Amino acid sequence: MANVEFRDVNKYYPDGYHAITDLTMSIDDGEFVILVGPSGCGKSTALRMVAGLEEITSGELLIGDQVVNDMTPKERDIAMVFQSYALYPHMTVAENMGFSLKLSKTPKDEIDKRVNEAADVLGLDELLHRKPKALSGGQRQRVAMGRAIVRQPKAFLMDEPLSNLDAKLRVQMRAEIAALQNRLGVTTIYVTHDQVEAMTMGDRVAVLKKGVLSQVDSPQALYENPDNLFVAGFIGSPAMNLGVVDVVEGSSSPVAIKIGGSTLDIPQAALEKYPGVTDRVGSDVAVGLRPEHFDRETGDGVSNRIDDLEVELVEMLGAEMLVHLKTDVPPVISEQMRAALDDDDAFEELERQAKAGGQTFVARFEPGAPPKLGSKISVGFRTDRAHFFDRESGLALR
Amino acid sequence: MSDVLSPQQQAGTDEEEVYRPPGPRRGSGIVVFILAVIAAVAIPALFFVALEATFEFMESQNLSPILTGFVAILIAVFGVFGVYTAVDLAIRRLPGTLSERVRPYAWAGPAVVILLIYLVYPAVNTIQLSFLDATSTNFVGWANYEYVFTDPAMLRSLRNTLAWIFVVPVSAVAIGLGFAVLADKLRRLESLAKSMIFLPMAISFIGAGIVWRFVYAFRIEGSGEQIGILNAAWTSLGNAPVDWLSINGWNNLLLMVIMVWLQTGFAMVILSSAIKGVPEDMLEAARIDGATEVQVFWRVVVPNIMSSIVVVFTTMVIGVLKVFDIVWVMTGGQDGTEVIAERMIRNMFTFRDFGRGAAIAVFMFIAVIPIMIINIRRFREEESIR
Repeated sequence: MANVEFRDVNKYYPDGYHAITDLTMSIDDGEFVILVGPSGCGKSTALRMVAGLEEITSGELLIGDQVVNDMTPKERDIAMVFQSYALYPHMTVAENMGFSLKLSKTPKDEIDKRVNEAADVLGLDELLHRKPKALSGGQRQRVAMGRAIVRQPKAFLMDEPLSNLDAKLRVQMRAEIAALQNRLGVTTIYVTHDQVEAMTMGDRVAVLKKGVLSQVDSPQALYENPDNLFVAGFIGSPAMNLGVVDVVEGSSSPVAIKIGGSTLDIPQAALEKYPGVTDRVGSDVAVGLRPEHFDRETGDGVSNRIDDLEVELVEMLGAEMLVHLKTDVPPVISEQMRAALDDDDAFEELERQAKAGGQTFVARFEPGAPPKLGSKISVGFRTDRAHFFDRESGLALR
Repeated sequence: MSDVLSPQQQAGTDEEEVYRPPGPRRGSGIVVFILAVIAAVAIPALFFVALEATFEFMESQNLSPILTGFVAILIAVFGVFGVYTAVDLAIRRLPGTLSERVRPYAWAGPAVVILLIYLVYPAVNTIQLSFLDATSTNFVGWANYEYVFTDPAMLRSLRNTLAWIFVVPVSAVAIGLGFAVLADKLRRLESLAKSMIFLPMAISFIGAGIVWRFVYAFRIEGSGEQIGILNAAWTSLGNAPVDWLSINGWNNLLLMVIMVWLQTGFAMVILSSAIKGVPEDMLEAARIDGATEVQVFWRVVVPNIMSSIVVVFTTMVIGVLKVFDIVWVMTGGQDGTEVIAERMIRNMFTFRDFGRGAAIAVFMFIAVIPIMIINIRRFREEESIR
């Protein structure tokens, strides 16, 4: 077991593509770190550089305080779980799991012992003599895990290991892998594009955008304090509602924002968190509000009330209710938003809405009597929970 | 019909049911059988009669051969269509479900009948001939087979063919695999390099034989300049020219080189695509598991392409069993270079001994059966995986 450290790591592909830019990150011994980001953000490249499957163009990569830039995968002593599992079809489950030990000339009874231990942990005892093709997807996934475990390596690297499983199995394996990692205490780097995996499994989450590390923090901290528009838009599902609003002087507070016909005062607490907003009076900011921070019940006297929002769609999800509301808040059209959406169609839809002068906000409420489609409702916009960013740079106005 | 199970039935998939036409079945089995046989035989028979009658008529009229040929083509195309339509119409008039049950035989039957005539009949006839004497008049028992296993030239041919079977497929697969791996490492020149290796595949065995005659060419002193490449290389080292194809033992190896030269491209193409089919992930997994590149090749790549290797190998063994042209062109089987197929042709057409020729043919046929079984089994295994 060992720590892993990136020091100003860069990766250029032969065609000139700059896949990783100045990546600096330190992963502690035994830590479970998730690399997450939209497709093409370089998360797999970063992982493959740790594995030794991709060359490092510049910078240093350390495993266990030792620079490993020029080491082969074999010399790095790491184990990797592939998205496709990459099991050897001509070997049995036991042989698959024991292959690395066999190559390192471990005595046969030691191999058997460790394979059996791993099989025991993963519930593969009955399947040790089967070939991979006779296994189900979930079982194959476990064999791939087993192959990593028996090695007792310095670090586990996992490249979207659950994305080939069906939804139910994925939930189960997600919990199992997290529990297993916790018990074994092996440093783990886990690549995924799945929000839920990123939020639930790791100690820390590193969000990458186009080869640049956007933010790295614990999952809850990322959710609550995004450093920039990209992280704000990328983390969370449904996504944070983001729009450009004018900043004016408030009635009960020095600063307020204008949404629709309403002027919403920003309370002192929020201003302490985002002091930069104060300088923007007379200008505009990008404001973000998570769907759960809308209030369904609004009294007349409430200062953060927005009126006359048309209900476009209601999604009843059992435990919650998502209400899509038409607003006149123009969306933030920037490269960061495009990256955060990770879906060109969705971004074009946003651009189309921007041209029309508004966008759809999604509010998450307790389930109850759903509002009628097309009707106009009032909701509370909790400015105390809102996030503020510079619309150009995308940085939080801290 | 038969107790041979289809792959699906072997795999035990009970869901797939055999198509059963509706309606009463009891008692009509014999009727169906008779009608099926009639239907299967009727089409080739009718066609044969129509063709025969037309030619008889046209010959009696002394028409030009071009016209006769043209009419033959017309009959072949439209006649077959007409005969099928007529038989199908007749089947339609059968009562009840009978027509449904006879129809498949009418459509598939003729092909089977023609196959029987052109494949099974000659095979049976060959076996018959192998027990008769040179002119196919007297029964000689096992005498021809005794010849196959006792005649010195035959024994040499058996020994040589055995050597061919070991040397040629092993070398061609090994060299082809080597080229496939090396070509895979090339980036831009891969297809060019592969084309060069594959090129000899386009040359016929006879053509290759003629090309290589020049390579091995030797002229006795006084009858001209030495023109062989091999001798050119040999004499440049200060040696006297050699008649390569008359050195007993080595000449066989020199002939095998030609076959290897011809077949390596085939092995390379098939194995190259098999190698490309091995997922990159798996190779990376092996490297991370601590395998060196050599270990990756032998422990991951080779086992993964084993089925392709076996197919290439068995295909070549069959090809080598049949090899005749190369020997015929290069040495004519002289100087101890006989092979089985060469012996067969020699006995059949040079010596006009049909009994011995047929006996060698039967022996070759039996020798190839185990290899065919391996091939078919492989094929079925792969089918069942899909």
